[in-house]
Amino acid sequence: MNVILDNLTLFCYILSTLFHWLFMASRKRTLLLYAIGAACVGFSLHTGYLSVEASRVGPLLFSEVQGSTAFFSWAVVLVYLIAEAVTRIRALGSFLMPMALLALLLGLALPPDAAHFLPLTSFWLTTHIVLAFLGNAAFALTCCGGIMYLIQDSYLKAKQPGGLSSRLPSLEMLDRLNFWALAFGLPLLTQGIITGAIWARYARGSWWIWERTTWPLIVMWGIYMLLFIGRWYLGWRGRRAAVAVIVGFCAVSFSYLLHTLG
Amino acid sequence: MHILVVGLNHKTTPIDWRERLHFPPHTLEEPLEKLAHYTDGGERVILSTCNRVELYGHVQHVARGSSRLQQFLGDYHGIAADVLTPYLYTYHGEAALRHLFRVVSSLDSLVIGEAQIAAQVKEAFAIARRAKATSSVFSQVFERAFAVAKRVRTETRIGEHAVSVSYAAVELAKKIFQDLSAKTVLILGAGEMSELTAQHLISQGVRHLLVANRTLEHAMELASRLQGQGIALDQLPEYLPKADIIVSSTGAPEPIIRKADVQNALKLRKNRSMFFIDIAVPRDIDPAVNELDNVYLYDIDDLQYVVEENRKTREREAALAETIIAREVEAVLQWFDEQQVVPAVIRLRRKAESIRQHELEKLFSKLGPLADHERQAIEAMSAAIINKLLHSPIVRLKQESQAKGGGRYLQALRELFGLDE
Repeated sequence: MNVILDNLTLFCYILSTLFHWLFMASRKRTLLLYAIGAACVGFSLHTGYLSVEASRVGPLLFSEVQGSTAFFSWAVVLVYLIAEAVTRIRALGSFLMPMALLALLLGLALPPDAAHFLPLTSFWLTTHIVLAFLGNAAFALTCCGGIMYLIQDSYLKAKQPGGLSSRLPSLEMLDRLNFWALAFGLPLLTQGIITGAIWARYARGSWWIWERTTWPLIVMWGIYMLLFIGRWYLGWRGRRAAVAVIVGFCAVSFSYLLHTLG
Repeated sequence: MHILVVGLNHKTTPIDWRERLHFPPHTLEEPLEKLAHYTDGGERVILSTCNRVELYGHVQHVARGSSRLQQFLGDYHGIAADVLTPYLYTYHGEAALRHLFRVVSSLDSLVIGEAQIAAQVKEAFAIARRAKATSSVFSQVFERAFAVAKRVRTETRIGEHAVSVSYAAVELAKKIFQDLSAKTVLILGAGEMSELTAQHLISQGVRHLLVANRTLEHAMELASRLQGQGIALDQLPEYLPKADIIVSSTGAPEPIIRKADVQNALKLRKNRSMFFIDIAVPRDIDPAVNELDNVYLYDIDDLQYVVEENRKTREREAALAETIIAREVEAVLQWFDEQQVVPAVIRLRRKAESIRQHELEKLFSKLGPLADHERQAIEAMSAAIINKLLHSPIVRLKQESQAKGGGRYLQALRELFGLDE
């Protein structure tokens, strides 16, 4: 049952990604509707799959490799659907859906954990995990915004504003998207860290335990705090901010992989 | 009856002839009235824009109709009609329909994809309808043409992307800034080109406008016309950081904005993007400015390159539009055939009935007095022969008229039974 749900989710995300790309190439509105529809169906299946798994294994499922990538993928799609509805940037899906797809595939490709789960359920643990992943997905959004910004910027600098450039929103819009994704992601992540510490204190008697996910979380929080301060006080915007969020997201992904495989 | 168009456009006719043959759009009623004599009262529309003069007529005979329309054009403007021959094109039937659809869809325009022509044709048609110069056929054809134009506009990108320098600049500004109404535009130099660009920007919602010029009076003058604020050129360092879009077209021999100036401005505006449009030759803005992050500099060559690329895009889209039009023309032709089937069938039945009545009269007068039931039997028999004989051709005709090329059956029917005599 679960394998079927998982495969169907994968299938929907592949469809959605393809439709998004076809939409970018042809700009037929029906293709966009198919793409969003496939994403919605996939997201429902994904939600079903994750809740079945979580009720079976407990919230620590999400600290295991496949569980964490699957949950990250779920959070990215959620953030995509919200951002699509709020900003109406039609190009978003072409960047975020492949990212969700990639995360799901990565979970299948990486060697599964031998770790056995403690049948733990705790309000604090669940909250910690959900917030941390939503924060992470918000940063995936900034990363995609950053990539779009750099593409649009390079077209305009090269003085060839045709092709892909006409499918992307204005630089100002993308810069704003980066800022808002950052402004939403950072508090989520901060609260995620705090609830994590509270859980650790209750469950393990210490405010701080070194889990596999602890390092990437700290790295991420540090990077985004820096970005936020840079933006707010030092006028890091536009191209530089776009480069920074991409580098930041890559660093976080890298540190996650390092700790998972290492 | 045939749809006919006789006309001339920018491709066939130089401007001085187009001027002489022009019909002022607000006084079209009078020529429409006169044109009725030349189309023998058939439906007619006069389309006259700066790039074309076209007469559309619904006429009985193609050859006579086209020479009469040409005659009208000459007579009305006091020119011998033969002189016009080399400038005119004539289309009838399918070709006339295609021509009309291409004109309304702006495929025949000087600037392919321009939006004005559809409105101009609509206006021309509306005037003709008010003057009662059109009826059912032209109503159908022109309404169809407007629907086709709309379809072309929404299904292709023929109308997208600016094909003039000042519009291209506005489009670029919209790729950098989301909302132009909150932006400040600085105009350097009170030239015609910068004024035009400024006006386009204002029409896109720009409200904050600064005008700088070497002579302050000229700056003030243009500023008051555009409802902006005039400043002197030496105040530039003070105002540059406030400007999001800078349009420059001064006659200065040396660049007046250098990289260092822009760097300072960027620092003061916390790196918010700046868009420089330099339409001056020699250039007003140091090209090195484009190397700075978040700064976009387009000179006149860059803009012209963008325009050229856009024009090519439109031409590619035009090919797509042609296929849409081809399909629509076919649909209209089929509709025409279907329309003509019913009258042809009625005429066929009438003709058969009149022959029957004629023959019955002859027969009855030859036979002398007959009993009622004998008369009725003869009448019923003759009616049955006619009905049975005509039944299958009529059914076949109705079926075929819904298929492609069904018009041939109609034509054959008319000729075989001599329906047009």
